[in-house]
Amino acid sequence: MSLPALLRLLQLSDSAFPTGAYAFSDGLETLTASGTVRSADQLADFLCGQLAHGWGQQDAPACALAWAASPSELAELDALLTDLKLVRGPREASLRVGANLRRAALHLWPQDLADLPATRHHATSFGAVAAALGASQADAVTAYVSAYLLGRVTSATRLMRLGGLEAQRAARLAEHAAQTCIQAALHATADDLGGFSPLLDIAAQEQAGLETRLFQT
Amino acid sequence: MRPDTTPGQRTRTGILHLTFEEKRGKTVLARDQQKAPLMIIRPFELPCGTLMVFVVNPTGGVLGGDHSEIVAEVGAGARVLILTQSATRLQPSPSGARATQDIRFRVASGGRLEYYPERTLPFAGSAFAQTVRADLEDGAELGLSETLASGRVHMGERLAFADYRSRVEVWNATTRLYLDHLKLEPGQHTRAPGVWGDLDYAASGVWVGSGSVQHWPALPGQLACGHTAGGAVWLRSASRRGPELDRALNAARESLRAQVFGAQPLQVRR
Repeated sequence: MSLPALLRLLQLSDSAFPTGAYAFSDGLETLTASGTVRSADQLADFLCGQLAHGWGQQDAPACALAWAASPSELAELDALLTDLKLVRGPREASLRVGANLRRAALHLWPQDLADLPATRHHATSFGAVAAALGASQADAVTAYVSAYLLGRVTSATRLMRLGGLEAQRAARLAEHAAQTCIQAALHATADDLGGFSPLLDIAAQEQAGLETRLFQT
Repeated sequence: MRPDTTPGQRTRTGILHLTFEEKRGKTVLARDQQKAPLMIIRPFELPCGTLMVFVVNPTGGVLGGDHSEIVAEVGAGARVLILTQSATRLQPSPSGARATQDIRFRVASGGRLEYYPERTLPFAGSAFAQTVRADLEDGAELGLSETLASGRVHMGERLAFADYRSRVEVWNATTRLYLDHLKLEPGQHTRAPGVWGDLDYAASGVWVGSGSVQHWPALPGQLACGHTAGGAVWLRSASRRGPELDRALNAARESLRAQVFGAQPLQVRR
Protein backbone atom coordinates (compact mmCIF):
# COMPACT_ATOMS: atom_id res chain seq x y z
CA MET A 1 0.00 0.00 0.00
CA SER A 2 1.26 3.47 -0.84
CA LEU A 3 2.17 5.91 1.90
CA PRO A 4 -0.71 8.31 1.07
CA ALA A 5 -3.19 5.42 1.10
CA LEU A 6 -1.86 4.24 4.47
CA LEU A 7 -2.17 7.73 5.92
CA ARG A 8 -5.76 7.96 4.72
CA LEU A 9 -6.64 4.53 6.10
CA LEU A 10 -5.19 5.44 9.50
CA GLN A 11 -7.21 8.64 9.49
CA LEU A 12 -10.39 6.83 8.44
CA SER A 13 -10.06 4.28 11.24
CA ASP A 14 -8.99 6.71 13.94
CA SER A 15 -11.32 7.01 16.92
CA ALA A 16 -11.38 10.78 16.38
CA PHE A 17 -12.83 10.39 12.88
CA PRO A 18 -16.32 11.92 13.23
CA THR A 19 -18.55 8.85 12.82
CA GLY A 20 -20.25 9.10 16.19
CA ALA A 21 -19.26 5.51 16.97
CA TYR A 22 -18.27 6.59 20.47
CA ALA A 23 -21.97 6.85 21.33
CA PHE A 24 -22.65 3.15 20.92
CA SER A 25 -21.59 0.13 22.94
CA ASP A 26 -23.90 -2.43 21.27
CA GLY A 27 -24.72 -4.19 24.52
CA LEU A 28 -21.37 -3.95 26.32
CA GLU A 29 -22.89 -1.41 28.70
CA THR A 30 -25.52 -3.94 29.81
CA LEU A 31 -22.83 -6.54 30.43
CA THR A 32 -20.78 -4.13 32.51
CA ALA A 33 -23.85 -2.93 34.42
CA SER A 34 -24.75 -6.53 35.32
CA GLY A 35 -21.19 -7.24 36.44
CA THR A 36 -20.65 -9.83 33.71
CA VAL A 37 -17.70 -7.82 32.39
CA ARG A 38 -15.79 -5.96 35.10
CA SER A 39 -12.06 -6.53 34.60
CA ALA A 40 -9.52 -6.20 31.83
CA ASP A 41 -9.33 -9.99 31.49
CA GLN A 42 -13.10 -10.31 31.20
CA LEU A 43 -13.12 -7.48 28.67
CA ALA A 44 -10.49 -9.35 26.66
CA ASP A 45 -12.65 -12.51 26.84
CA PHE A 46 -15.62 -10.51 25.63
CA LEU A 47 -13.65 -9.09 22.71
CA CYS A 48 -12.30 -12.51 21.74
CA GLY A 49 -15.80 -13.95 21.89
CA GLN A 50 -17.17 -11.25 19.63
CA LEU A 51 -14.34 -11.63 17.15
CA ALA A 52 -14.79 -15.41 17.04
CA HIS A 53 -18.58 -15.72 17.17
CA GLY A 54 -20.34 -12.36 16.95
CA TRP A 55 -19.25 -9.09 15.34
CA GLY A 56 -16.27 -10.79 13.72
CA GLN A 57 -18.54 -13.26 11.90
CA GLN A 58 -20.70 -10.55 10.44
CA ASP A 59 -19.24 -7.07 10.19
CA ALA A 60 -15.61 -7.99 9.51
CA PRO A 61 -16.44 -10.24 6.52
CA ALA A 62 -18.98 -7.66 5.31
CA CYS A 63 -16.19 -5.07 5.27
CA ALA A 64 -13.92 -7.43 3.32
CA LEU A 65 -16.65 -8.21 0.81
CA ALA A 66 -17.57 -4.54 0.44
CA TRP A 67 -13.98 -3.69 -0.46
CA ALA A 68 -14.32 -5.69 -3.70
CA ALA A 69 -18.06 -5.33 -4.31
CA SER A 70 -19.93 -3.85 -7.24
CA PRO A 71 -22.70 -1.32 -6.53
CA SER A 72 -25.38 -4.03 -6.76
CA GLU A 73 -23.38 -6.35 -4.51
CA LEU A 74 -23.01 -3.54 -1.98
CA ALA A 75 -26.77 -3.04 -1.98
CA GLU A 76 -27.25 -6.77 -1.36
CA LEU A 77 -24.67 -6.74 1.44
CA ASP A 78 -26.40 -3.81 3.11
CA ALA A 79 -29.77 -5.58 2.87
CA LEU A 80 -28.21 -8.71 4.33
CA LEU A 81 -26.72 -6.79 7.27
CA THR A 82 -30.00 -5.02 7.93
CA ASP A 83 -31.81 -8.35 8.17
CA LEU A 84 -29.10 -10.18 10.13
CA LYS A 85 -28.92 -7.47 12.77
CA LEU A 86 -32.01 -8.57 14.66
CA VAL A 87 -31.62 -6.13 17.53
CA ARG A 88 -32.80 -2.66 16.65
CA GLY A 89 -30.17 -0.68 18.60
CA PRO A 90 -27.05 -2.15 16.97
CA ARG A 91 -28.83 -2.20 13.59
CA GLU A 92 -29.58 1.51 13.72
CA ALA A 93 -26.17 2.30 15.19
CA SER A 94 -24.50 0.56 12.26
CA LEU A 95 -26.60 2.59 9.82
CA ARG A 96 -25.91 5.88 11.59
CA VAL A 97 -22.18 5.31 11.86
CA GLY A 98 -22.09 4.23 8.22
CA ALA A 99 -23.85 7.41 7.12
CA ASN A 100 -21.58 9.58 9.25
CA LEU A 101 -18.45 7.89 7.94
CA ARG A 102 -19.55 8.42 4.35
CA ARG A 103 -20.38 12.05 4.97
CA ALA A 104 -17.04 12.79 6.61
CA ALA A 105 -15.04 10.87 4.01
CA LEU A 106 -16.80 12.59 1.12
CA HIS A 107 -16.07 15.94 2.75
CA LEU A 108 -12.37 15.15 3.14
CA TRP A 109 -11.67 13.37 -0.15
CA PRO A 110 -14.35 14.56 -2.59
CA GLN A 111 -12.35 13.83 -5.73
CA ASP A 112 -11.15 10.36 -4.74
CA LEU A 113 -14.63 9.39 -3.68
CA ALA A 114 -16.53 11.05 -6.51
CA ASP A 115 -17.70 7.65 -7.79
CA LEU A 116 -18.24 6.04 -4.40
CA PRO A 117 -21.19 3.67 -4.73
CA ALA A 118 -24.09 3.84 -2.31
CA THR A 119 -23.54 2.13 1.04
CA ARG A 120 -25.54 2.15 4.27
CA HIS A 121 -23.93 0.17 7.07
CA HIS A 122 -20.66 0.92 8.82
CA ALA A 123 -18.97 -2.24 7.51
CA THR A 124 -19.90 -1.68 3.87
CA SER A 125 -19.15 2.03 4.00
CA PHE A 126 -15.74 1.45 5.55
CA GLY A 127 -14.83 -1.24 3.02
CA ALA A 128 -15.97 0.75 0.01
CA VAL A 129 -14.33 4.01 1.15
CA ALA A 130 -11.07 2.26 2.04
CA ALA A 131 -10.96 0.65 -1.41
CA ALA A 132 -11.61 3.96 -3.13
CA LEU A 133 -8.81 5.57 -1.10
CA GLY A 134 -6.32 2.97 -2.31
CA ALA A 135 -6.06 0.72 0.74
CA SER A 136 -5.49 -2.96 0.14
CA GLN A 137 -8.25 -5.34 1.17
CA ALA A 138 -6.19 -6.91 3.94
CA ASP A 139 -5.15 -3.53 5.30
CA ALA A 140 -8.72 -2.23 5.14
CA VAL A 141 -10.10 -5.17 7.11
CA THR A 142 -7.21 -5.01 9.58
CA ALA A 143 -7.88 -1.33 10.20
CA TYR A 144 -11.60 -2.00 10.57
CA VAL A 145 -11.06 -4.76 13.13
CA SER A 146 -8.52 -2.63 14.98
CA ALA A 147 -10.99 0.26 15.11
CA TYR A 148 -13.61 -2.09 16.57
CA LEU A 149 -11.25 -3.34 19.26
CA LEU A 150 -9.95 0.06 20.25
CA GLY A 151 -13.42 1.57 20.14
CA ARG A 152 -14.76 -1.05 22.51
CA VAL A 153 -11.90 -0.77 25.00
CA THR A 154 -12.28 3.00 24.97
CA SER A 155 -15.98 2.55 25.72
CA ALA A 156 -15.03 0.20 28.52
CA THR A 157 -12.95 2.87 30.26
CA ARG A 158 -16.14 4.92 30.59
CA LEU A 159 -18.19 1.96 31.77
CA MET A 160 -15.85 0.23 34.21
CA ARG A 161 -13.11 0.93 36.70
CA LEU A 162 -10.50 0.47 34.04
CA GLY A 163 -7.48 2.62 33.27
CA GLY A 164 -6.29 3.37 29.79
CA LEU A 165 -3.32 1.04 30.02
CA GLU A 166 -5.43 -1.89 31.26
CA ALA A 167 -7.95 -1.24 28.49
CA GLN A 168 -5.19 -1.37 25.91
CA ARG A 169 -3.97 -4.61 27.50
CA ALA A 170 -7.42 -6.09 26.90
CA ALA A 171 -7.11 -5.20 23.22
CA ARG A 172 -3.62 -6.69 23.18
CA LEU A 173 -4.95 -9.94 24.63
CA ALA A 174 -7.41 -10.14 21.75
CA GLU A 175 -4.64 -9.89 19.16
CA HIS A 176 -4.64 -13.56 18.19
CA ALA A 177 -8.45 -13.67 17.91
CA ALA A 178 -8.26 -10.52 15.78
CA GLN A 179 -5.75 -12.13 13.40
CA THR A 180 -7.94 -15.23 13.06
CA CYS A 181 -10.98 -13.04 12.45
CA ILE A 182 -9.19 -11.03 9.75
CA GLN A 183 -7.98 -14.13 7.94
CA ALA A 184 -11.46 -15.65 7.97
CA ALA A 185 -13.04 -12.40 6.81
CA LEU A 186 -10.73 -12.20 3.81
CA HIS A 187 -11.93 -15.62 2.62
CA ALA A 188 -15.61 -15.27 3.46
CA THR A 189 -18.55 -15.21 1.09
CA ALA A 190 -21.86 -13.48 1.70
CA ASP A 191 -23.35 -16.84 2.69
CA ASP A 192 -20.89 -17.00 5.60
CA LEU A 193 -22.30 -13.95 7.36
CA GLY A 194 -23.95 -15.04 10.59
CA GLY A 195 -22.78 -15.94 14.07
CA PHE A 196 -23.82 -17.03 17.52
CA SER A 197 -23.93 -14.43 20.24
CA PRO A 198 -27.21 -14.89 22.12
CA LEU A 199 -26.11 -13.28 25.36
CA LEU A 200 -24.96 -10.09 23.65
CA ASP A 201 -28.18 -9.99 21.60
CA ILE A 202 -30.16 -10.17 24.83
CA ALA A 203 -27.91 -7.56 26.48
CA ALA A 204 -28.19 -5.21 23.50
CA GLN A 205 -31.98 -5.44 23.58
CA GLU A 206 -31.98 -4.77 27.33
CA GLN A 207 -29.76 -1.71 26.99
CA ALA A 208 -32.65 0.62 26.23
CA GLY A 209 -34.20 -0.31 29.59
CA LEU A 210 -31.18 0.41 31.79
CA GLU A 211 -32.02 2.92 34.51
CA THR A 212 -28.96 5.00 33.73
CA ARG A 213 -26.87 4.64 30.64
CA LEU A 214 -23.96 6.33 28.98
CA PHE A 215 -24.39 4.89 25.49
CA GLN A 216 -27.27 4.99 23.04
CA THR A 217 -26.99 1.25 22.42
CA MET B 1 -28.37 -28.13 0.51
CA ARG B 2 -26.95 -31.54 -0.25
CA PRO B 3 -25.22 -33.88 2.17
CA ASP B 4 -21.46 -33.82 1.68
CA THR B 5 -21.03 -37.56 1.29
CA THR B 6 -18.85 -39.61 -0.95
CA PRO B 7 -20.24 -42.12 -3.49
CA GLY B 8 -21.01 -45.48 -1.98
CA GLN B 9 -21.40 -44.17 1.54
CA ARG B 10 -24.57 -45.41 3.22
CA THR B 11 -26.73 -42.49 4.18
CA ARG B 12 -30.43 -41.88 4.51
CA THR B 13 -32.69 -39.31 2.96
CA GLY B 14 -35.94 -38.79 4.80
CA ILE B 15 -38.73 -36.95 3.05
CA LEU B 16 -41.88 -35.46 4.45
CA HIS B 17 -44.29 -33.49 2.28
CA LEU B 18 -47.47 -32.37 3.99
CA THR B 19 -50.38 -30.37 2.60
CA PHE B 20 -52.98 -28.99 4.99
CA GLU B 21 -56.29 -27.47 4.00
CA GLU B 22 -59.34 -26.10 5.69
CA LYS B 23 -62.51 -28.08 4.95
CA ARG B 24 -65.87 -27.27 6.49
CA GLY B 25 -64.27 -25.24 9.24
CA LYS B 26 -61.67 -27.85 10.21
CA THR B 27 -58.03 -28.23 9.29
CA VAL B 28 -57.22 -31.52 7.61
CA LEU B 29 -54.10 -33.17 6.28
CA ALA B 30 -55.13 -33.31 2.63
CA ARG B 31 -52.04 -34.98 1.18
CA ASP B 32 -48.83 -36.42 2.51
CA GLN B 33 -45.71 -38.13 1.28
CA GLN B 34 -43.48 -39.84 3.82
CA LYS B 35 -40.18 -41.55 3.29
CA ALA B 36 -38.34 -43.16 6.19
CA PRO B 37 -36.76 -42.31 8.46
CA LEU B 38 -39.09 -39.31 8.53
CA MET B 39 -42.76 -39.96 9.29
CA ILE B 40 -45.63 -38.43 11.18
CA ILE B 41 -47.98 -39.70 13.83
CA ARG B 42 -51.65 -39.39 12.86
CA PRO B 43 -52.67 -35.74 13.18
CA PHE B 44 -55.20 -34.75 15.77
CA GLU B 45 -57.06 -31.61 16.61
CA LEU B 46 -56.23 -29.56 19.71
CA PRO B 47 -59.01 -27.95 21.79
CA CYS B 48 -58.26 -24.62 20.08
CA GLY B 49 -58.96 -26.14 16.67
CA THR B 50 -55.35 -26.28 15.54
CA LEU B 51 -54.35 -29.52 13.85
CA MET B 52 -51.19 -30.96 15.40
CA VAL B 53 -48.77 -33.44 13.90
CA PHE B 54 -45.71 -35.02 15.47
CA VAL B 55 -42.74 -35.61 13.22
CA VAL B 56 -41.02 -38.83 14.17
CA ASN B 57 -37.61 -40.21 13.37
CA PRO B 58 -37.64 -43.73 14.82
CA THR B 59 -33.90 -44.26 14.39
CA GLY B 60 -31.26 -43.39 16.96
CA GLY B 61 -30.85 -39.92 15.57
CA VAL B 62 -29.50 -38.07 12.58
CA LEU B 63 -26.28 -39.55 11.30
CA GLY B 64 -23.56 -37.64 9.54
CA GLY B 65 -24.36 -37.67 5.81
CA ASP B 66 -28.10 -38.04 6.36
CA HIS B 67 -30.42 -35.63 4.65
CA SER B 68 -33.92 -34.64 5.67
CA GLU B 69 -36.40 -32.73 3.58
CA ILE B 70 -39.58 -31.38 5.08
CA VAL B 71 -42.12 -29.42 3.05
CA ALA B 72 -45.37 -28.21 4.56
CA GLU B 73 -48.03 -26.24 2.73
CA VAL B 74 -50.84 -24.64 4.65
CA GLY B 75 -53.93 -23.44 2.81
CA ALA B 76 -56.17 -20.48 3.57
CA GLY B 77 -57.92 -20.80 6.91
CA ALA B 78 -55.95 -23.85 8.06
CA ARG B 79 -54.25 -23.87 11.50
CA VAL B 80 -51.31 -26.25 11.86
CA LEU B 81 -48.85 -27.06 14.63
CA ILE B 82 -45.85 -29.25 13.78
CA LEU B 83 -43.84 -30.70 16.65
CA THR B 84 -41.19 -33.36 16.90
CA GLN B 85 -41.75 -36.32 19.17
CA SER B 86 -38.36 -36.16 20.85
CA ALA B 87 -35.09 -34.29 20.82
CA THR B 88 -33.10 -34.43 17.61
CA ARG B 89 -29.88 -36.27 18.35
CA LEU B 90 -27.13 -35.34 15.93
CA GLN B 91 -24.72 -38.24 15.68
CA PRO B 92 -21.32 -37.98 14.06
CA SER B 93 -20.21 -40.10 11.13
CA PRO B 94 -16.81 -41.77 10.88
CA SER B 95 -16.11 -39.79 7.71
CA GLY B 96 -17.00 -36.54 9.42
CA ALA B 97 -19.73 -35.85 6.86
CA ARG B 98 -22.28 -33.23 7.79
CA ALA B 99 -25.95 -34.08 8.25
CA THR B 100 -28.26 -31.72 6.42
CA GLN B 101 -31.87 -30.70 6.63
CA ASP B 102 -33.96 -28.51 4.36
CA ILE B 103 -37.33 -27.27 5.53
CA ARG B 104 -39.74 -25.34 3.33
CA PHE B 105 -43.01 -23.85 4.49
CA ARG B 106 -45.63 -22.15 2.40
CA VAL B 107 -48.58 -20.51 4.11
CA ALA B 108 -51.55 -19.05 2.25
CA SER B 109 -53.38 -15.91 3.27
CA GLY B 110 -55.43 -16.62 6.37
CA GLY B 111 -53.46 -19.76 7.19
CA ARG B 112 -51.27 -20.31 10.24
CA LEU B 113 -48.31 -22.62 10.65
CA GLU B 114 -46.38 -23.14 13.84
CA TYR B 115 -43.25 -25.24 14.11
CA TYR B 116 -41.78 -25.85 17.55
CA PRO B 117 -39.45 -28.83 17.40
CA GLU B 118 -37.90 -30.36 20.49
CA ARG B 119 -34.32 -29.57 21.39
CA THR B 120 -31.38 -30.32 19.13
CA LEU B 121 -28.56 -32.24 20.84
CA PRO B 122 -25.31 -32.17 18.89
CA PHE B 123 -23.17 -35.13 19.99
CA ALA B 124 -19.39 -34.99 20.06
CA GLY B 125 -17.96 -34.84 16.57
CA SER B 126 -21.27 -34.13 14.85
CA ALA B 127 -21.75 -31.58 12.10
CA PHE B 128 -25.11 -30.30 10.99
CA ALA B 129 -26.46 -27.69 8.60
CA GLN B 130 -30.05 -26.82 7.97
CA THR B 131 -31.97 -24.25 6.00
CA VAL B 132 -35.48 -23.22 6.87
CA ARG B 133 -37.42 -21.02 4.50
CA ALA B 134 -40.99 -19.91 4.99
CA ASP B 135 -42.90 -18.10 2.26
CA LEU B 136 -45.96 -16.31 3.54
CA GLU B 137 -48.76 -14.75 1.57
CA ASP B 138 -50.22 -11.49 2.85
CA GLY B 139 -52.25 -12.26 5.96
CA ALA B 140 -50.51 -15.57 6.67
CA GLU B 141 -49.22 -16.31 10.17
CA LEU B 142 -46.09 -18.12 11.26
CA GLY B 143 -44.54 -19.15 14.56
CA LEU B 144 -41.22 -20.93 14.78
CA SER B 145 -38.79 -21.63 17.58
CA GLU B 146 -35.79 -23.86 18.01
CA THR B 147 -33.61 -24.77 20.94
CA LEU B 148 -30.03 -25.95 20.95
CA ALA B 149 -28.05 -27.66 23.70
CA SER B 150 -24.28 -27.49 23.99
CA GLY B 151 -24.21 -31.28 23.79
CA ARG B 152 -25.18 -34.22 25.99
CA VAL B 153 -25.00 -32.03 29.03
CA HIS B 154 -26.28 -34.66 31.48
CA MET B 155 -23.27 -36.79 30.50
CA GLY B 156 -20.88 -33.91 30.89
CA GLU B 157 -20.36 -33.62 27.15
CA ARG B 158 -20.39 -29.97 26.19
CA LEU B 159 -19.31 -28.05 23.08
CA ALA B 160 -17.70 -31.17 21.61
CA PHE B 161 -19.55 -31.03 18.29
CA ALA B 162 -17.73 -30.00 15.13
CA ASP B 163 -20.14 -27.38 13.88
CA TYR B 164 -23.79 -26.40 13.77
CA ARG B 165 -25.47 -24.14 11.24
CA SER B 166 -29.06 -23.10 10.94
CA ARG B 167 -30.22 -20.49 8.46
CA VAL B 168 -33.82 -19.43 8.89
CA GLU B 169 -35.54 -17.04 6.48
CA VAL B 170 -39.10 -15.80 6.34
CA TRP B 171 -40.36 -14.08 3.23
CA ASN B 172 -43.48 -12.26 2.14
CA ALA B 173 -43.27 -12.19 -1.67
CA THR B 174 -39.96 -10.40 -2.35
CA THR B 175 -39.61 -8.92 1.13
CA ARG B 176 -37.50 -10.76 3.68
CA LEU B 177 -39.14 -10.39 7.06
CA TYR B 178 -36.60 -12.33 9.08
CA LEU B 179 -33.15 -13.79 8.64
CA ASP B 180 -31.16 -15.58 11.28
CA HIS B 181 -27.98 -17.43 10.45
CA LEU B 182 -26.83 -19.27 13.52
CA LYS B 183 -23.38 -20.72 12.94
CA LEU B 184 -21.37 -22.13 15.74
CA GLU B 185 -18.04 -23.88 15.60
CA PRO B 186 -17.14 -24.38 19.25
CA GLY B 187 -13.76 -23.05 20.25
CA GLN B 188 -11.84 -21.48 23.09
CA HIS B 189 -13.98 -18.32 23.01
CA THR B 190 -17.45 -19.89 22.95
CA ARG B 191 -17.69 -19.50 26.73
CA ALA B 192 -16.91 -15.77 26.51
CA PRO B 193 -19.29 -13.27 28.10
CA GLY B 194 -21.72 -12.15 25.42
CA VAL B 195 -21.50 -15.45 23.57
CA TRP B 196 -22.71 -18.42 25.64
CA GLY B 197 -20.97 -17.72 28.96
CA ASP B 198 -21.35 -20.70 31.28
CA LEU B 199 -24.78 -21.59 29.87
CA ASP B 200 -25.66 -24.71 27.91
CA TYR B 201 -29.01 -24.01 26.25
CA ALA B 202 -30.13 -21.42 23.73
CA ALA B 203 -33.33 -20.70 21.88
CA SER B 204 -34.34 -18.55 18.97
CA GLY B 205 -37.67 -17.88 17.36
CA VAL B 206 -39.77 -15.78 15.01
CA TRP B 207 -43.43 -14.88 14.86
CA VAL B 208 -45.28 -13.14 12.03
CA GLY B 209 -48.88 -12.03 12.26
CA SER B 210 -51.13 -9.00 12.13
CA GLY B 211 -51.30 -8.30 15.87
CA SER B 212 -49.01 -5.80 17.57
CA VAL B 213 -46.94 -6.62 20.64
CA GLN B 214 -47.62 -4.34 23.61
CA HIS B 215 -46.01 -6.47 26.30
CA TRP B 216 -42.61 -7.76 25.30
CA PRO B 217 -41.64 -10.96 27.08
CA ALA B 218 -38.30 -10.48 28.82
CA LEU B 219 -36.14 -12.05 31.51
CA PRO B 220 -32.99 -10.10 32.40
CA GLY B 221 -29.95 -11.81 30.96
CA GLN B 222 -32.04 -14.75 29.79
CA LEU B 223 -34.66 -13.78 27.24
CA ALA B 224 -35.39 -10.86 24.97
CA CYS B 225 -37.62 -10.13 21.98
CA GLY B 226 -37.98 -7.35 19.47
CA HIS B 227 -38.87 -6.42 15.94
CA THR B 228 -36.70 -7.22 12.95
CA ALA B 229 -36.18 -4.61 10.27
CA GLY B 230 -38.83 -6.47 8.25
CA GLY B 231 -41.40 -6.28 11.05
CA ALA B 232 -41.29 -9.88 12.32
CA VAL B 233 -40.91 -10.61 16.03
CA TRP B 234 -37.62 -12.25 17.00
CA LEU B 235 -36.74 -14.03 20.22
CA ARG B 236 -33.45 -14.96 21.86
CA SER B 237 -33.04 -16.93 25.03
CA ALA B 238 -30.24 -18.69 26.88
CA SER B 239 -30.14 -20.66 30.06
CA ARG B 240 -28.02 -22.91 32.24
CA ARG B 241 -30.63 -25.68 32.42
CA GLY B 242 -32.94 -27.14 29.80
CA PRO B 243 -36.18 -27.08 31.84
CA GLU B 244 -35.47 -23.47 32.81
CA LEU B 245 -35.12 -22.55 29.14
CA ASP B 246 -38.30 -24.45 28.25
CA ARG B 247 -40.32 -22.63 30.91
CA ALA B 248 -39.08 -19.23 29.77
CA LEU B 249 -39.59 -20.06 26.10
CA ASN B 250 -43.07 -21.50 26.60
CA ALA B 251 -44.22 -18.47 28.56
CA ALA B 252 -42.81 -16.07 25.97
CA ARG B 253 -44.22 -18.11 23.12
CA GLU B 254 -47.75 -18.10 24.53
CA SER B 255 -47.53 -14.38 25.23
CA LEU B 256 -46.41 -13.67 21.67
CA ARG B 257 -48.99 -16.06 20.16
CA ALA B 258 -51.73 -14.26 22.05
CA GLN B 259 -50.55 -10.84 20.93
CA VAL B 260 -49.43 -11.58 17.37
CA PHE B 261 -52.10 -14.15 16.42
CA GLY B 262 -54.80 -13.45 18.98
CA ALA B 263 -54.53 -17.21 19.66
CA GLN B 264 -55.63 -19.32 22.59
CA PRO B 265 -52.84 -21.15 24.46
CA LEU B 266 -51.75 -24.45 22.97
CA GLN B 267 -52.77 -27.44 25.06
CA VAL B 268 -50.52 -30.22 23.92
CA ARG B 269 -50.60 -33.65 25.54
CA ARG B 270 -47.67 -35.89 24.84
